[in-house]
Amino acid sequence: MTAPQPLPMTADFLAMVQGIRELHHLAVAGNDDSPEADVIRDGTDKPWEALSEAERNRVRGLSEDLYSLVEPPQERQPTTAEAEANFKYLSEAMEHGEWDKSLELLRQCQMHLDPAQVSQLRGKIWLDAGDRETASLFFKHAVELDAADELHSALSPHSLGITDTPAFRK
Amino acid sequence: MPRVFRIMKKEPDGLPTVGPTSLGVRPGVDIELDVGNNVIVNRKGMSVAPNWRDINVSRIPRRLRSIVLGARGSKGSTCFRFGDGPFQQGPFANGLTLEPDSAVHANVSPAAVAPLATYETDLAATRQNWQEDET
Repeated sequence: MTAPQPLPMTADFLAMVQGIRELHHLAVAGNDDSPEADVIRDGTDKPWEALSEAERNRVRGLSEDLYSLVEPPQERQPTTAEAEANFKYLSEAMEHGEWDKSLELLRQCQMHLDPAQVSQLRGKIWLDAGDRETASLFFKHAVELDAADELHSALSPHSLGITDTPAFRK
Repeated sequence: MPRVFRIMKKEPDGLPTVGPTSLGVRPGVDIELDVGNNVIVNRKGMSVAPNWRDINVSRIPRRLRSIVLGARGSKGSTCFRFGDGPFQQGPFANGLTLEPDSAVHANVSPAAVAPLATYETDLAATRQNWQEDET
């Protein structure tokens, strides 16, 4: 079996993701309706037009997931048989490097997981998919939620050596 | 007239704001000008889509997140609809044509070489035909 591969990321996709991250940072500061935010939106129009539908869905999902870093966590729901099945599929998808499927499955079962674990997993998926900057946002959130389990320790930004990214320094 | 959507700022009268990033264009970004300040006819122009859900997710007002995952646009923006005809190349309004470049995007371009001011006036003249539609 071949090892999981990072996502191919075009210049337009990277520009779009950077714009979404910058808008996220402005939202954290309460400036998402500022002229500065509109300048960033202007800069994402051309990259957006160049994206495939799969890339657009990935960007939509990332933008949605970034809201989880600033909004109160959802109340955790009891695990169901469907959630258990999704955990299994998620694990398999991550193992096989199916990054979009992994992110989607995580979205489907996130209400059954600890919010810190959700952010850890998102960080892990983005890291393995090849985007350290985005990964660091989710790892930072997991740290802030003070998850102290073994998985958290293993996947901490320090142990992964990504604390030098701008997002993590903020 | 083709049915298209564009996300724009809204004035108190419920119609779109006329301006470069609303009902209008950004010279050098959306269109190119010749040395005489005329708009070059090259299918570039004011960006529109056949459905507001296809528009850049950073433009879709975030109040619509329940419909479009990750919507991250300004709360001051509104989705507007124009026309009810098919999304295809052809006349759009006086002095303007619709130029699709994919199934989910088109530009409203000048029908012929025209001074920038004329093109902007033609776009502004469509203002009454846009109506809010976020359904």
